[in-house]
Amino acid sequence: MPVRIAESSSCSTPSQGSGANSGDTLPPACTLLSVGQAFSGSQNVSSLQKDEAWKVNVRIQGCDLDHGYLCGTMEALNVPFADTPVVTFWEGEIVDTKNYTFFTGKWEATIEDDIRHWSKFPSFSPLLNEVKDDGGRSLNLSNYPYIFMRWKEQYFVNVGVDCGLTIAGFYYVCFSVSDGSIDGFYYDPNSSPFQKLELKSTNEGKSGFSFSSYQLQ
Amino acid sequence: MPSTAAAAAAASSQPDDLIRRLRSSDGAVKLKALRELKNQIIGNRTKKLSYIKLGTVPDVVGVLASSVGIDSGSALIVESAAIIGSFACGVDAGAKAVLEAGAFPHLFRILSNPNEKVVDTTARSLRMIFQSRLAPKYDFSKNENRDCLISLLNSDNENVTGLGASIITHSCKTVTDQKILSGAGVLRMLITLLNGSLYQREACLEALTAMLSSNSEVISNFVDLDNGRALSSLINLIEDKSPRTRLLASTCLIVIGRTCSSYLQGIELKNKLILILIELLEEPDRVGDEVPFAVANLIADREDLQRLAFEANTLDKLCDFLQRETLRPKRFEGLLLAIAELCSRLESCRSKFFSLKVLNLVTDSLKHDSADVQTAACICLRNVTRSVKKLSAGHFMNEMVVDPLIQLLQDSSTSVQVAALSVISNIVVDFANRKSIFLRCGGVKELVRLSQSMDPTLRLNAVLALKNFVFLADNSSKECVLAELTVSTLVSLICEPKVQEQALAFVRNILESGINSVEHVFTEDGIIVNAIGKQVRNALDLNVCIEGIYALGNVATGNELHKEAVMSQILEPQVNGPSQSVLIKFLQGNNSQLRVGAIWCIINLTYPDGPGTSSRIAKLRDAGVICQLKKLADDPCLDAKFRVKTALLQCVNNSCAK
Amino acid sequence: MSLFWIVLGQPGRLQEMATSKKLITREEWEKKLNDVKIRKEDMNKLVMDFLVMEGYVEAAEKFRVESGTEPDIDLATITDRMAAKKAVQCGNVEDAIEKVNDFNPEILDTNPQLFFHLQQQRLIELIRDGKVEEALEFAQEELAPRGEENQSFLEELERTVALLAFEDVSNCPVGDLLDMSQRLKTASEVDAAILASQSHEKDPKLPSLLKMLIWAQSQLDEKAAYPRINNLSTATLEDPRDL
Repeated sequence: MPVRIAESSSCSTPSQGSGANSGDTLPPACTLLSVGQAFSGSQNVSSLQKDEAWKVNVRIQGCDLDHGYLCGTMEALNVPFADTPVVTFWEGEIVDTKNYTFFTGKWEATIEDDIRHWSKFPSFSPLLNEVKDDGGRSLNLSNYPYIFMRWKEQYFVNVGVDCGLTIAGFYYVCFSVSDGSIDGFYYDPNSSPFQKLELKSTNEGKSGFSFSSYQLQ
Repeated sequence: MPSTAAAAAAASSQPDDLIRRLRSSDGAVKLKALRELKNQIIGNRTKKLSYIKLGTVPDVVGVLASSVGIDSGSALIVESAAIIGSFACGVDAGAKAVLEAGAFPHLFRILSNPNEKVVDTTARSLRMIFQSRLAPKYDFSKNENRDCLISLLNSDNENVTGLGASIITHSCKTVTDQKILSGAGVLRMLITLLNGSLYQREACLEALTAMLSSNSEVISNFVDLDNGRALSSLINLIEDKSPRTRLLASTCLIVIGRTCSSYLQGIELKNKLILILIELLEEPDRVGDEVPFAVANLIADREDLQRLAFEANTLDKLCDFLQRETLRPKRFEGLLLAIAELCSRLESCRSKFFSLKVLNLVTDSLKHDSADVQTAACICLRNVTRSVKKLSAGHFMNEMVVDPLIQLLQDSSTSVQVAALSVISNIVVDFANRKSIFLRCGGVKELVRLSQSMDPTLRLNAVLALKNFVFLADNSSKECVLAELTVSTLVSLICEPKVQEQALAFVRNILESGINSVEHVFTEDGIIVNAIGKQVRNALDLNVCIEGIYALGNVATGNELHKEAVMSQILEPQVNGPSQSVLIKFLQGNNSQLRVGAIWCIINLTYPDGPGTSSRIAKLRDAGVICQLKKLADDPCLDAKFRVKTALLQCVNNSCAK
Repeated sequence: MSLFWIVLGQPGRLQEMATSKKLITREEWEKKLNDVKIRKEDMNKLVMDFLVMEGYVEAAEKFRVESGTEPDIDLATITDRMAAKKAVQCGNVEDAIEKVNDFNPEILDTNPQLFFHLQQQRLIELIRDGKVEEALEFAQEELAPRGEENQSFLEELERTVALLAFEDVSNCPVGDLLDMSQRLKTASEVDAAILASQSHEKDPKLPSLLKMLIWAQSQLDEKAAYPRINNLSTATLEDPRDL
């Protein structure tokens, strides 16, 4: 039987023993965006005629910066026609220019759609020129005070697909490291355009901010 | 099935008669008896064992020894050597008996016999013995041994060269062995022999693998041979027509690639290797059994190879095999391990795994008879449960998965327990509010029991699992765990060097949900907070400091009393250290995580609107903390920089409000 | 997530496949065939491979002398292999085992499946000869321990022993075990194992080349009309059917 060979120090294989994409092996880019953290705010679903919004709560459940991965749940309250809050699970792509660039390249989003949506964030404008050519592949965003992401909902957690809502689209998201606020725009060719998501980091009524962690094996 | 008395009698008298004839002085009678014995035992484990029990092996070795040098002795030698080899083949007791009967030196001596058939059989027989783990280690550091080995490898007889290779495979275990053999020019000899017959080639491939394993120096010697032609002939062999050669050449290449990845770089080669291994999965018998292990070894810790393997549909194939009936335990184990490695890093692989509907099969194999299969099933489950997407859906938190795992926590084998713990650690990170299922199944009780095990690995992993269990848990679940664990055990875990990081993280998670949760650690005169404070002040390990300061930061989200307790812990001068507080030390530290943790702690202590906030700010200022904070206003870590801003703003606003 | 806004049905478009086949004339075909160069030595090797594998010792020897093609195994060993194979075909399994062990004692020690099948064949022969008592004893003494080692052996053993339960074995569900084909199956396993021990493939190359030809033609049939080989023994090219 072939045996697992211990890695020799002279060679270039990564030294991560278990290879787990655990919640906390890497420092999160920002503690406010780490697993367990909560956000609350609203999603504006307005068409031009009337202003309509529902309350939204988000909780971060997983984070794997190596793979530019973030995930969590999104809870929508006071949704029209729904008798309970609707919870979805989403997975996020962090635009780190290594795993993911500003170009979505899927989910029916063209480069024009990408630019149009990213440009809605004021913090994006300094990057626009570099992004136009290659999605920003050569940009170093590790010290940029904003983290850009795409959040794509994967499934409904507590209701069926017949709940009257769609998760066909995805959110363009911008997180501010300075105050932990999140802005986002929902994109789905079949939904009302530019629905705005506005969230603030919340300590859920505690007298301060607490942080928890888990570690996948 | 009934057996007649007569038949039974005949069967039992036969071996006695045979042994009697073996001892005959008549050569012809002896030869006939040897042939009968040979044809009875070859391939037949039961027969081997019964003859070993009857003490037949020394008789056969006796015949071998006494036939050397006599006329017409060749036939006797051929038969007795074949028998000795067969006894040693696949039966430990046989190898032991053969070695104890002193067959070794006789056989080695006979290798120089002029009769080719005699040499053939003897070399084969020795090879069988060297394939047993009981064979003595051949000492390459002795000159005469080295010479002997080289003369074996130089032989024209392929069974003799094959023997030389087997000796290397069996005995080349250390870096020193590898260097001695490489220095003696053995690499080149083995490469030349690769052109020989199938047996010879396969024996040489195994020997090469033994020589190259984890030794970058010998690997580069090998690669430099004949301008890289050695490496390319090895690469050619992965496409050989013999399945076993393909496997052995692949295994050798994998060993090279794992130690020096630069020699296994080209995407074409990687793809080829993967496709060849996938194809070899179809092989019956030993080859097919070993292939999954080779796959696992190839892709372990190598995301690039995992991705390629995934794109080549390896996961589908492995899962397809897993569902076939009557899998031998070895193959079953290998398949589970290969699937585990494939799902170790890539979420796309895990998604695929779930869509292939084999989860139940893997869960069922937690109850397999073989401990190796159980362990492999745990490792497989551990890796697929790294999917937060599935964890979030509460996919694994059900009795069908949890019950057998909890059973395994009581297993007699520590490695099975550790493997089961690792799966449980993942499963209890449950976001769907189903933690009560785990409590109901008695899981927490078991984890608490293991947190006090004599085995440090079990202790550590049990505390880690408890930490994950209380992550975002509801209050009642947390209370159950604390009641089960008891305050005194928790304190001793916090103080135990290897476990304390996890124990502190456990407390941190307990404390996460506000005042009620903070109250949990203020029982018994705040003994837990005192223990945390003490560890934080004295710890040398960075991770312990980080977990500790976050734990204290979480305490500081409680009421005034809680905040004051934290103040006294972090402002107390360090024992045996400089007079400055641990808080300042952390703020001055090089590690940004630690700095951020300390800043959060200050943010919580100076959180607006508390009746004692002003006095705490004053105390922090007096202790030089505020001054230190200001120095971090341009911290290169953005998170630290912005959090410092928040903290300072709170201090300023507080004084303005007054 | 969002409320549904517009729901557009997008009817799938079926792409029409081109259905016309390409016609390749005999002239074109033969010209292309002539462009393919096959070395005489390679053809000879194919023939030698076939003769060696199928055990035609004398023909192989003659062919060696005439064509100068060296076989890749010692022709003398063909005789041993054929003798072992033949012994199984005639039902002399013990004899076959002895021959295999004389040839190379490692084969049956490292090939449990072959060993089991030989023992199973011995049992079948005992049953065929009506030696019920001996068969039972043999099954218990020799085969039952193998069944304990391997689940699939146990199933095969149970199937074989079932032969004893029927008065008229020619009509029983496991009667196929007594067919000549069972002996041939076991014999070819012996053949393959000996060949493998000599670093040889277990099947001659020529038949698989012919199989490949048939497969390639059937693939090509869907796309083109061309001069086909319908009769493999004459290998004549048939004119393509008019479209």
